[in-house]
Amino acid sequence: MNDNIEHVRRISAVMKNVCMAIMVVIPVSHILIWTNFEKAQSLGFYHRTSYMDGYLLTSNLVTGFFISGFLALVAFMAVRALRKFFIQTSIGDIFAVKSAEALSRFAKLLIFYTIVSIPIETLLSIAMSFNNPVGERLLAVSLQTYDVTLIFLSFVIFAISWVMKESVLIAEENAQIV
Amino acid sequence: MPIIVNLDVMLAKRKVKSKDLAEAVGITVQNISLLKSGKVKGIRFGTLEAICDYLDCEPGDILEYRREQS
Repeated sequence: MNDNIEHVRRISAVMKNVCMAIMVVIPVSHILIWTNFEKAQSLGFYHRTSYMDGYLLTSNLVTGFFISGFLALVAFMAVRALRKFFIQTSIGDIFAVKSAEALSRFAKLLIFYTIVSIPIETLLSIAMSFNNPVGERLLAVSLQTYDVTLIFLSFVIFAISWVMKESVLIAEENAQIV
Repeated sequence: MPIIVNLDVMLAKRKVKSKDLAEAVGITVQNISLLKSGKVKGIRFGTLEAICDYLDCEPGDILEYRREQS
């Protein structure tokens, strides 16, 4: 039992640092992608947006930067909540209200991220093709298997965090019975 | 809460120390202290039985229901 807890603590400490790294990578990559958009798109980023060569202006990029920036901010906050969860578990507070709340917050933000990413990508498609010639502007609404899987996983994590939260409350109440 | 814990009264009547009761019942002195001050959400039948056995009393001597005045 103690060995397992020690194992959980060690893995949590690693995950905490991974989350910290992701929290740095998100804003940096966001800036790098939008300052080198064409190259980033050739690498697979924002491949669903469409613009015509020669019609991509700075105004499109600035608008796109802010629109997708909102999504990056939500992702950043979700990772921050996950980091809080791993901070708690790394100090051995596995079944604590704080841990359950952090996991619940992460799940809620993940659900929000997945749902909001659909209209955000639609807005992005408009913003990026706004300067295209008339008739070439694009309004794309897409829902891929990836999105559905992410929504499903988010709800699963949310349900687990809910169960965990209730368990913690029951355990705390039991601890008050002598 | 309208349930009053009179454990301190019974301990004084029987001239028993909290430490001795804790040892006899098998719970910590801190828990006895919490029980005496009524800062617990419940008491197990097993604990109540052991306390009654050691102090030679009835559950009603330890727990009392006092109706709250509205």
